Amino acid sequence: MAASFLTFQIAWAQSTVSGQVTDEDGEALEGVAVVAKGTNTGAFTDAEGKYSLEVPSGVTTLVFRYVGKLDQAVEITGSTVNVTMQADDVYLDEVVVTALGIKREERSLGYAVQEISGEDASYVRDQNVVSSLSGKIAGVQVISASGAQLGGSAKIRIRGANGLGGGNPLFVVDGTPMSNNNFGASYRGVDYGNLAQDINPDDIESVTVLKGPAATALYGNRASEGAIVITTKKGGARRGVGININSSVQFDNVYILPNYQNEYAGGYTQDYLTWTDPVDGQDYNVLNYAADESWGPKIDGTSMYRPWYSWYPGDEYGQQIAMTAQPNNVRNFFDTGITYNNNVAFSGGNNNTSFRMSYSNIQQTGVIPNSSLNRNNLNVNASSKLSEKLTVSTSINFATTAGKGRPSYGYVGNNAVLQFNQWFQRQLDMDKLQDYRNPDGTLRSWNIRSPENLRPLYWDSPYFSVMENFPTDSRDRYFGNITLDYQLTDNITAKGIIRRDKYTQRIETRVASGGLDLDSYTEFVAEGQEDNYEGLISYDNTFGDLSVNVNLGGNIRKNSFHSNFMGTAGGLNAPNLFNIKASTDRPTTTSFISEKIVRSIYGFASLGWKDMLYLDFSMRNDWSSALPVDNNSYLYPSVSTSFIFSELWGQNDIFSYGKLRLSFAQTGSDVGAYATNSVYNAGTPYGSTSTFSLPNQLVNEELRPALSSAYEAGVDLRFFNNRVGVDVTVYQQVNIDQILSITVPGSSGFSSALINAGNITSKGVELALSATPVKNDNLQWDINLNWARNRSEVVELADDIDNRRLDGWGWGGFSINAPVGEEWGTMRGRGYAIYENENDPNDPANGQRIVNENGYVFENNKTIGSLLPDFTGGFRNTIVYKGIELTAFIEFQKGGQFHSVTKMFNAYSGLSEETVGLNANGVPVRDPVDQGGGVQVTGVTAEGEPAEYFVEAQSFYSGNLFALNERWIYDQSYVKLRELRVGYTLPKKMLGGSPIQDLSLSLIGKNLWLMFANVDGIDPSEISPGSNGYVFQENGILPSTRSFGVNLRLGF
Amino acid sequence: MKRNLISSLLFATLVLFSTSCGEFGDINIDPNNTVSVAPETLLTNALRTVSSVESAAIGSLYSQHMAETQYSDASRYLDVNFDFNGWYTGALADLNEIIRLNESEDTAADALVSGSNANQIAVARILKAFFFHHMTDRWGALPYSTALQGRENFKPSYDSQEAIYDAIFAELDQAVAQMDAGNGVDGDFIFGGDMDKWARFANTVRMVAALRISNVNSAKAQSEFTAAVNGGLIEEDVMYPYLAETNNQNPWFGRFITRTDYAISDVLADRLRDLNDPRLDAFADPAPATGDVQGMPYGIEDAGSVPNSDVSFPHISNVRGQDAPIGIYTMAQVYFSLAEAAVLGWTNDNAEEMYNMGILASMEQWGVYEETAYNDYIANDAPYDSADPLPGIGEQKWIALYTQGYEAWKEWRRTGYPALAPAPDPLNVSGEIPRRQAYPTSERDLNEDNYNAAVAAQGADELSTRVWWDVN
Repeated sequence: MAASFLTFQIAWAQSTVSGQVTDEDGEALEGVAVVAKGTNTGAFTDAEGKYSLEVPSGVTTLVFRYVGKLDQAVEITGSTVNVTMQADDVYLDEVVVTALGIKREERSLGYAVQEISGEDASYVRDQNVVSSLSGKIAGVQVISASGAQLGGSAKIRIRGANGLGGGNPLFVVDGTPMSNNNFGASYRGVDYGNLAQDINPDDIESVTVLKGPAATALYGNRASEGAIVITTKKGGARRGVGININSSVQFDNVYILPNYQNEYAGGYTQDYLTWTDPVDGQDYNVLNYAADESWGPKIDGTSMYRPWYSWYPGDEYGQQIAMTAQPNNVRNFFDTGITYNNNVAFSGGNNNTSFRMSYSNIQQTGVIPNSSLNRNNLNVNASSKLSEKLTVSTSINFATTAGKGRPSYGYVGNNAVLQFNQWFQRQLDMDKLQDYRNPDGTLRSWNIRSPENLRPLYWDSPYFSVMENFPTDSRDRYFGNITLDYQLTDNITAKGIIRRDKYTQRIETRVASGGLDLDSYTEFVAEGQEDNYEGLISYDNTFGDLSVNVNLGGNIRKNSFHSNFMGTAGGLNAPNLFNIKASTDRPTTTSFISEKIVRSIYGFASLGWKDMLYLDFSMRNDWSSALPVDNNSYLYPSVSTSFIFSELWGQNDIFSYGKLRLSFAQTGSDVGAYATNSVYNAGTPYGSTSTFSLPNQLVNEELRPALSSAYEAGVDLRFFNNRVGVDVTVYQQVNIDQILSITVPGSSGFSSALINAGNITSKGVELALSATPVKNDNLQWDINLNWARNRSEVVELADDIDNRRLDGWGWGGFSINAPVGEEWGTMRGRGYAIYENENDPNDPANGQRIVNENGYVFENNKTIGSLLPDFTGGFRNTIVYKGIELTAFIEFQKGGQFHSVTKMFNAYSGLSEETVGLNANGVPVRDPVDQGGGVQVTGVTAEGEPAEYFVEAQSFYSGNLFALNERWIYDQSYVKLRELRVGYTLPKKMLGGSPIQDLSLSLIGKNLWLMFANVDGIDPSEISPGSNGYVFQENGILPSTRSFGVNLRLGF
Repeated sequence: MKRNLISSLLFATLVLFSTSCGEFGDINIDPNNTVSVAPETLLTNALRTVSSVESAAIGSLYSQHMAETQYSDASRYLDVNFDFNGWYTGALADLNEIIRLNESEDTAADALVSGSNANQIAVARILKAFFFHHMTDRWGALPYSTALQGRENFKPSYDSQEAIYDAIFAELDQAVAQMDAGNGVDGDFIFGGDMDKWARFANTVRMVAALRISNVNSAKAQSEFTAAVNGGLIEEDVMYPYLAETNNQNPWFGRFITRTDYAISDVLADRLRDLNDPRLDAFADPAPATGDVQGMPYGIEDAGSVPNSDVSFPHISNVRGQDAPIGIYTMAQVYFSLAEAAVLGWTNDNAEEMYNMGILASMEQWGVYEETAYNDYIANDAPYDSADPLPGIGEQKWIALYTQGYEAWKEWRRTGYPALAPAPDPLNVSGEIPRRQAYPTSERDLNEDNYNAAVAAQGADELSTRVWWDVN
């Protein structure tokens, strides 16, 4: 506490001043420092807030200081000076939770730390703690999944790519490291969500994001990509039992869908086909039902034709209907998702014990039919002072999650949205697809091969996919700790902690019998466990102006992971018998075990001088079982300093606070288990003959621990009594010997190799601005803005390797890369051929696209984009007017690009709006070119002459633009109204004598408005690639959703 | 006193930590995988890759044996880059490992469980040559002499196709020569470890490769061809034996489980009908609409407008039966090659006899041989043309190579027979039938200098660039 460092001297008294200090509510404040301005004379207030002070002659002003209150300078007008202190809401003298759960005054830290309260993280009741951080912390980029994904993965990237993968920070809850593993697919498949979702937002007291190595040094290797440190709510001393209830209901609806055309029906030609009905012998207009594209007849509202279902035996057989548009057919497929989120918490305590128990239940149904999620969280925090010296405390959490029908996303057949957006017929009536079974139980689909061959060609009914081919998943998890805290002497404490995080994940998938795909069943069970044993001895003392804190600790970490997978092969031998024993062929089975131990010792010390200068040191050594024995020990230090330079000239009304931070830190890191042993992998057997093969990844028996070094500098400035604040951080992180699996030419015999990569450097700037433009008794308006920019560059990889190919996607040879000397995330692939006249740099044709009668001429292997955004951030406004509070949170990103397969096939298949309309001749683009139709393409010829062609629309979109990657690269910039809440808290007076102490009701909204984007039909803010991978493309994204709801909070 | 106690405790803890911290025993030994295997398991794995050589759909499209029914992009040459990485990281790496295990002093004795060291090495070398032969004919120059060296070389340079051919001939020659009387190889589901059959197989690869360079280096072609024939060729069809189970099923079966993307092409079907060829009904199913075999128009943009019921899918049991075998080298192919060699004057065989034997062998392979019909066929429908024999030999070989698409395409590139027209609506730059396939884009990203050098030496990395032997 700042005040405790103040020292006072007795001076010759001239007069005595006394009085009382209270807060805004009239409560007495104890321990307020009262200083005669310009002297060292002072006193503290007592329990009743009273003080008495001998004021030296010449002193006319008293200064009052108290933690969490604004300093006040009051003129001495008589022998009694009573003061009401005002809360310093913009910047309290914050205490933040740092690495290892150590609480520190923010001012003492020599590195950037941003903390948000649990309330601010989840004020619209986001259930995923990761996505709730989106945009709220400078330098923390969150890539969320569509709400349609139902508990989908949110990816978090701290300080950019950081040289490694997409970013995978360490999650820590009350000191216990939590797995944020993921069992879903990347880019396509089912996303089962990131495991950090097991943390209940209602239990979160605060979230601190430790961004750089200086902040995370004490966590060692695993936090080399940052750490998310979560502190849960604890009970405290109070009268009776506190009960808090927090309940909400929210409604999700599909928000952004591609812009579909509604002018042409399914097929490949604009003429109807004719078919003779074998029953009545009559000829009918029919569509090419087998086509999963919409280049068919004009939707004129009048032409009569036989829809697909008129060929199925039954009541509708023979029916003819008018060709009418179905502009909302896709939207009609989706349900309104409903989420009920209920939490009740009990808390209590006295001077020696504290207790809090909380239970939450979330029941959710998704916008995709037949998808649902159920979550339960139980959290118990208790602490007891068993003796004067010994305190025992524990935090235990149980979380269960059960999902059903989590939808597939990306380019997989079971993704209903893939059908709608990429391979569909626009005139289809969604209601008719809903009956996906005939009365005899056989399946029905719109995509029949012909009127007399009713077997679907490419697509089952989307309803069959979601209603019957659904996965189920469940996870039981517990995590927590038991802590013993012993006060050895006044200055020395010792602590022993045991921690565990353990989960069992189960995933079953099924493909029902009778559909297009071979029926199947798979079951996957995984058990992950991490145990930590910690010991820490701390010494704390003050010598005059110098405060000293020295700690010495050790940690043993054990990770283990076991999994089993079983899957049927060759189909099921009894329809819909979803059991491994139903496997037609020998089922696929595998099991996997992984174990790893890391032992560590560490020491850290903090020195504080006056209230002004702080110096921190830390040193940690890890021994990892995963590294080669000769190279398995690594030591890394950090040093940081904080200088509150505003203390030099004291308080004034303009410049309230100024702090400079500087730090240097190193972090060592290791690798997963078994990466250093050369082994053979079991292959697919030939009949009963087993096979083995050399692995495709080349192991490295000489791996060294990686070391990253970071330099960070920052300044925190606050003005006008803290009404305006600016916090700027710049950093550079140099990652040396980073252990990477990098793709190598297959001709080496391996597809990837583990290497110690030379040098990957990232640099960045982070900015946090805050202001309170209006503040009076009735109205307060607060603004917070976060902004960050990060650049990463591969300076050096290894001998012989000059590019790290991060990932790729088939058509057009599209890939993202981290080439040496270039920006991380460079996109390459097929692009427009550009004219360049080598002899004449002034040729006006230079830089123009080359075109011919087919459309654009393309060029392979072209650099066509970049992944990393220019900057990211968030902007928050809070307006409180009397009891009504309005909070609006806007998130933004500038730059960064992604490749859209949805857009490509939406056009390829003639589904998108861009494939219809009139061309420059005023003729429909879909009309034949020889009748004035076609898509106009302009550019220059291969010789540089201006050229203009009209290209048949279908050839253009299905041929020329297909796999022309550059055409389907989009800007990822967006501005989005992410969260909105309007709440009303009943004033305490109105609650009067009732047992209710807190009552508030709010309307909440999430993802309400995509205010700006450079791409239509796709929400660039929600293109999470699933469990892993880079955000460089979407290939069948689910539509984004928006949600509205009501929240009620009650406290007793 | 108390403080002393704490310090000593602390000191003791530290010492304890620093001495024992780095000891982890066996914890980092991977329990999921093994560090030693019998080489035969690697051989079986490599042999499974032989399937990819013959059963690739794209080869059967290039050769115009098959046509695509709805999405006709591949048969219109949309795909330019083809990945070769899997060949190296898969079969070739495993074959190299077999050689290492049998050569290294540390492992050679243990490797004897799978056959004699020399025989295992010989088989691995034969298969390596077989795969490289297939690969170089698709891509041209390839990493060869500096390939498969792991960490020693992450940037293998490219050898010219001519150098690769020289190496293949030498490998095959030496492999056959080094076979010994020890145990044959285990894990061999194609020849059951019969080393004589492996020698014959090696000679057949050598013969096919020799013929392939006949236009560019006829002297070498002739000497290699003669050496191969003298060494003894295969005496029965060598087929890849698919099994009636998911993991080892015929790929054409797999392609037709949920979709119907391929049909026999009109080019092949029409030609067989003109020839009254009895193989037509063995190659494809009747079209539901007509009751007889109908080819799908090859390579048209609007393929989707042709109803499925109007075209013939590949034969339900002969081609896409779950365990229907596909030829690796067939007797028909051997006889047609011998016929051509006889025409070239390389051998003393009777070219016409060889030609007729080829037709007979092919009919037998497809189960349609019937003496009268066969005699009628060689007499009237497809008689040997002694005035200009090569077009007829080429066409019959093309027919006989049905389902061995890549091989048929390679022979078409060499001989120009039969005269095939490119897809009417091509999507590639040249608009012509591909003469090769382009390198995977990963080479541009990861091995740029060597890639650029190879392209500079060979020609643009396009489908239209001809490989070294393609000079016809």
